[in-house]
Amino acid sequence: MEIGYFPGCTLKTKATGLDDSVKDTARVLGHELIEIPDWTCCGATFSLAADNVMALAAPVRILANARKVGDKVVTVCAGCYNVLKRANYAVRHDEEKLKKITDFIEAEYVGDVTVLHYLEFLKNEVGFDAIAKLVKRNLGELKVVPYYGCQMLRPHKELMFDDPEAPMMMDELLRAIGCNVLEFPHKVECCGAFLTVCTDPSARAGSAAGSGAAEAGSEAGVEDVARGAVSECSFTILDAAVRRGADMVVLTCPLCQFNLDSAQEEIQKQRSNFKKIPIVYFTQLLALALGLDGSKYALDAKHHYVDPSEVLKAKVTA
Amino acid sequence: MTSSTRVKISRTSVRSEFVKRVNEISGENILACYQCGRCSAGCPLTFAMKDLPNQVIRMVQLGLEEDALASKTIWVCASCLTCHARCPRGVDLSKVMEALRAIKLRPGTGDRLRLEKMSKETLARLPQQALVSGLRKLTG
Amino acid sequence: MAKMKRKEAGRRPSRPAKAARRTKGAAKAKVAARAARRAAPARPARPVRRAQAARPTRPAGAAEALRRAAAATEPAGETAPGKMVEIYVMGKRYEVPEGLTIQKALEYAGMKLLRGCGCRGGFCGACGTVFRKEGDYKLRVALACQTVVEQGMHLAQIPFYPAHKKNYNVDELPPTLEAIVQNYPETMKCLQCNTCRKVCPQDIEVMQYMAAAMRGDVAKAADLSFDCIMCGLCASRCPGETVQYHVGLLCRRLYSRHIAPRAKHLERRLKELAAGKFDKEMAELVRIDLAELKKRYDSRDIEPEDADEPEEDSSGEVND
Repeated sequence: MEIGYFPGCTLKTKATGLDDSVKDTARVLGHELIEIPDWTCCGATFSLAADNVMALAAPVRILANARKVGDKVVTVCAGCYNVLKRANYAVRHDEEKLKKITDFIEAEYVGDVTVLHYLEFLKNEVGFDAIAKLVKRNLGELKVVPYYGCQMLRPHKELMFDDPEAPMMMDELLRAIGCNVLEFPHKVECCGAFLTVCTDPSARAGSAAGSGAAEAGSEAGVEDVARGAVSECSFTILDAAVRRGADMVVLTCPLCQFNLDSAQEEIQKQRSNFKKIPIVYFTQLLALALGLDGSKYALDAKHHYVDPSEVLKAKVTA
Repeated sequence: MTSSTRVKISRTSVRSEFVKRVNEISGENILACYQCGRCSAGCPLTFAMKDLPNQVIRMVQLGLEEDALASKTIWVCASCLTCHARCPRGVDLSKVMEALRAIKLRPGTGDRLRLEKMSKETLARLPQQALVSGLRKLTG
Repeated sequence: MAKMKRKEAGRRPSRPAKAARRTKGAAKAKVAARAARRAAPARPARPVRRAQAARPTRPAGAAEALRRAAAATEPAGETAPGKMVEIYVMGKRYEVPEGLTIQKALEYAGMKLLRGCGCRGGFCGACGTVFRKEGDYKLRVALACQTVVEQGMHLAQIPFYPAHKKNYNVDELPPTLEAIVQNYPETMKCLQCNTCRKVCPQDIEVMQYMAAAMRGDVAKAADLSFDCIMCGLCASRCPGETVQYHVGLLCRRLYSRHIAPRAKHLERRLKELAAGKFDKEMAELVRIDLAELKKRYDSRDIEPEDADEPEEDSSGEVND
């Protein structure tokens, strides 16, 4: 079955392993993901300002283009999922807003596209039992914790994805493909998200050389605080995973992957006894389980700050 | 927070243009918050905050414009929506934070990120998702 | 009468002769303008961009009523000599012959365009300007040499948009997102609002190539932005404050330098030349007389032997 697919910008550069593993695993499971025509960046974050109509232009245009392929669009980036689904919800419940946007972007859209996360798609359209039957490679000894983060769960009223406080969809899939899934209480906590841009000290607005120096004096130090935010948030999550004996943290969002992966260097500087743990996408493990060639999915030191290849080599049959 | 100073609460402050503006941009009923503190208890960024999330919304409720807008809390909110998920009254505190940020950013002079000063290394390593969302949240 | 000048610094310094001419008296300018008006022949309407031709202007005043009555008796597309339209330049009213472009109209009105004036053919991108149609609220941007004035049009100067063109060495840049984001990080502020595409005088899909750039698809951005004439109108209206035309230029340069397949047959030929393969033939051709040369030229083999040709490299591989 052919279905529209929205990759998102990051999957074309930093998360190619995710993009390729999604497409290939879908194919093995009998579905062809077709990139929707003329897609653009979705905006990466859903604007929480009720009067920000401009921010809806991009997601609504994407949905209008998706409609040309079918009435469903699948995405795997949790950030894109959040933006598209929330934008869909917003225009479905506000006719005036929808009209304003469709007039502006000069496209037709009536709110009839369904936005699906790849996990939902796998559960509903394929079935985890069916996937379990197609497993060719043994991942049995791999201990994993599933990390959901924020974007695919909240706000529950709009996303309606699994249980927002104790989701189990990724756990079930990972179990179905043969992983040893560990209990993990931090699966829905924030990794720090976009605050990662504040990790560059030279970009601080509060620096003396910056504009608005008078204001900067009273607000200096905000970015210093934000700088450490990603490290701290990530540490809470990673530490819990390591202490439970996990070999890997498994997730679905490229931003979370970047934060959890890249923060470990900084964390180890501050806490010398911190043990690093690789961060991979659930689709990469799915690809391995279905017998696909792991070397095609960026599971190496070149694409990760913490190299997953050693653990995989040790625990997964070739 | 102005915990050690006296705060003047009056009809003019509580019904000020500032409060109206926050209501407009956030679309939230700020007066629904009864200060139970569940949001602050669940917020993963409180280690980086001086004013807790529930204190910030209290400032807005009382019309304390200067305090609310000067709070660093609004810039370390990651919009994770944990507060909204926990709130027994369904208040979306992240929208209030966004409204406060918008008030500071929309005039065009309050950017928290100096894009032109970012190092080439940072620009090379950040995924687009980080840069695009960071710019949307922290610049006007 | 005021002379028009480009309002910025940084371009080529004006030549002394021009500077001297600029200071000549107003009287001379008036005489020149009058002469120009008399000399200006009635000309047929310039080819107009279809979008602008389709929009009707609202008439105003008796002069306009008279003009339209006269037009009603003539076949469409022709202009009787002497038909004038009212335009406003920087707020001041002028009458210019119908069918002139904005650029010609400004000059007809007596302005001398020292900057913001180039090929006059819609291809150099120098004359991007802003104007407004009668009765309309929209501020429009377009190329002055390609836009025909209409009754009641409000014109302004022809500015130059001093967008920041970063200094980079294209040899040292990777043909990836990195090069784009390091030189033009504000590209990530693009809202995908499509304003740029709407104002592009070349009908380029600007938003699409910006989207390609944001994805790191340099080749696609280069391809889509190929017709760009660097007029800067896209950046002038961008709410995200991106500099589309510089991003497009960077992508095209990266494509040409790093992605476009090298002409292997050219490289081979250069090597052959250096090795002296054609020296003997060349020496002979230089030596023979004109008649013999002509004879040889006329009887030359237009499709050379395949035996000498190198194998076709159809893979389009990237240069080493």
